[in-house]
Amino acid sequence: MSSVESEPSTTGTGTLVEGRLHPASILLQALKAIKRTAIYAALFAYQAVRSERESFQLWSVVATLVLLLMPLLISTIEWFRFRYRLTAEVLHVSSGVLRRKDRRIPVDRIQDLSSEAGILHRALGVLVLSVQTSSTQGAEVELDAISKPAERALRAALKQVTSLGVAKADVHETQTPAVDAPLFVVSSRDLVLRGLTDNRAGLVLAGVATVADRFLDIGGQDAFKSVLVAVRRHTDAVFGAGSSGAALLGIAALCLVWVAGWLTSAVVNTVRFHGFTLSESDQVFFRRYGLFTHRVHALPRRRVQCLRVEQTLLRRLVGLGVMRTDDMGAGAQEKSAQESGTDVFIPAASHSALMALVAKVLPESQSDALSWQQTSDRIVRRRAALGLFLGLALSIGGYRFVGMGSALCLLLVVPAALWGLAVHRTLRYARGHELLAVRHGVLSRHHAFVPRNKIQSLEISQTPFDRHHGVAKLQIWVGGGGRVTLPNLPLGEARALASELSAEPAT
Amino acid sequence: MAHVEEPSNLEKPEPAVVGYWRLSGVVGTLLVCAGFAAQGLFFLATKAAWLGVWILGVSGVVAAARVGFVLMTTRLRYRRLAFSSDAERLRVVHGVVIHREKIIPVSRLQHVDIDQGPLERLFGLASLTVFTAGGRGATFRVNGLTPSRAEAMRDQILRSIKNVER
Repeated sequence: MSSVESEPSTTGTGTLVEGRLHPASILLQALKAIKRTAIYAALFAYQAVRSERESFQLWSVVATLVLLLMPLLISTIEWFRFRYRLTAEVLHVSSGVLRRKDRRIPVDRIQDLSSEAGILHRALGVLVLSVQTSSTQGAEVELDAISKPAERALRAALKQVTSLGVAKADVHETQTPAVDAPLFVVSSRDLVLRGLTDNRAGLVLAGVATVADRFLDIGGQDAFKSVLVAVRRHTDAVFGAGSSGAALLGIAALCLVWVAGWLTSAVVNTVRFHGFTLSESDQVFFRRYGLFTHRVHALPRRRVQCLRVEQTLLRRLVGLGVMRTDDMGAGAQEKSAQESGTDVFIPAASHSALMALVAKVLPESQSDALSWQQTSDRIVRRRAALGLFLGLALSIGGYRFVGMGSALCLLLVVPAALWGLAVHRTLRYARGHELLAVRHGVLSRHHAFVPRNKIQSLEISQTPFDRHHGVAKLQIWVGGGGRVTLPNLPLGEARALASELSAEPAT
Repeated sequence: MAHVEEPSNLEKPEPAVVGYWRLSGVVGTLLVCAGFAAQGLFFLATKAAWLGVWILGVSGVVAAARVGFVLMTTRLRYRRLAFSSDAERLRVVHGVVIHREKIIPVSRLQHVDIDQGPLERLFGLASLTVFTAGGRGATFRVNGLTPSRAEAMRDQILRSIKNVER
């Protein structure tokens, strides 16, 4: 029965540092596992004490002991399996008992070495050393726990390799205040427009609901009922008894909430992004904004993985757009980036101004005269087929209620085909020497610009319907986990594009 | 236009991976259903015995359906799985209903894992995973390799990175 062994690396030279975890890690790992099962052990121990049946008492005691001792046994075996070794080229870690793992990290991929020690670690004289690459899945290697001399030896060996020029450890850039002329300034008018096209009615509703809930909690039910009765009496007096006056008033109240949402959005956006200025200094973009809380965000140009220019339908009507970036911290779609606003590169500007700014943010786009290509026209047929299918389903389902009149549903094929035509006209891509650009959106409009050297991986996928039509979807991942999607490409074209984008650019 | 590599030029994993998928599918299903079955047995001993019967029945049907699905589709899955690695890129093709082809430029690699679960060891197999900076969706994973083949592939990939960066 063959297994994975921790053999010396065939690609590396001599070992610089190697070792195991500190024996204290047996106790530390066991304690972590016991914390997870402590509640069950406590329940069994309680049953052992309280139960009157001897057999049940015995089993409860056994279960408690298993839950407390098994983690210790497992962590001991895992300690024997864990080894690390650093050569001039690779950090090699082998671990695992049931699932054995052998991990190799090229030294020049190591971005960060960080250490920490909690109270227990400090009491035992050990610490946790984490090794990180640019991969977004947390620390690639966690040495929990090693002694301080072992940590110093590993850092020194890595520094030695770094000083030989083999590895390039990331250096925290010194952020100098930008004093150059700003690249872009967002006007207050654009910020107000952004707010008005970003309705926060939901926020207002939630606020009103919270206040009403609190009011009812503190015994406001009677007051609430008398208000409702008074409103009903008033509407009956104005519109007549039994009329729909109350309903009209309800609609008016909802409209009021909607308007309040708009105004709130306008105020929130104006305050949040007040005085937004984008400037650049020494290959680093600085974004300054905020009325009450002043914020300055620095983003090195090389960390920009993808640039997006987006317009929702409302914003398109007023000619406004938003520019976002995917950086190595998080993709632009990630919720945390959206909530903190760090994904927003330019919060509001005219679409033409944003498109002109693309060349300044991504110099790669300057050398390319982008020629936009359409994707397959099979999308029209597919949408028409979908419309026909839906129309047929509605016709059959509606026959029972409206008779032959339900056959009118078959006309859905027309708007469906028109929609397919609109998608076909708006879905385009352009490939430059150093850049891939994708644009899509019928009602809203989206542009994405991806420098080729930021592409991490690509995937071509086909559903059964795609295979029938000979098309595929191409997805492109950039650093940080962001993704750009290009559907409806003929399969051969998708493969050619993927091969081209995954090839090393000629130097 | 760049050369397009056809899937037929790709390598296949070891045929033993079919047995591994079947066994791991069956074991996984039984483990999950065992939890529900335990709950069902618990209820059988109470006044709500009907609930116990219901839970046992449903979990039995689901287990049978899942096991049947696994046994029927593993051959198809094996037929679809293929991969290649060269000096420039790694490629894996997989998927039965939705066909997928994942491509990773070698220069984007961050680190490489070879791992073996207990069932994989039973079949003499291992899995190779290559990570990039693109997150979970941008990893390259192949299972059904012999440990020596996985190690050879890993070493070749690491050598390719060095050559790309020279």
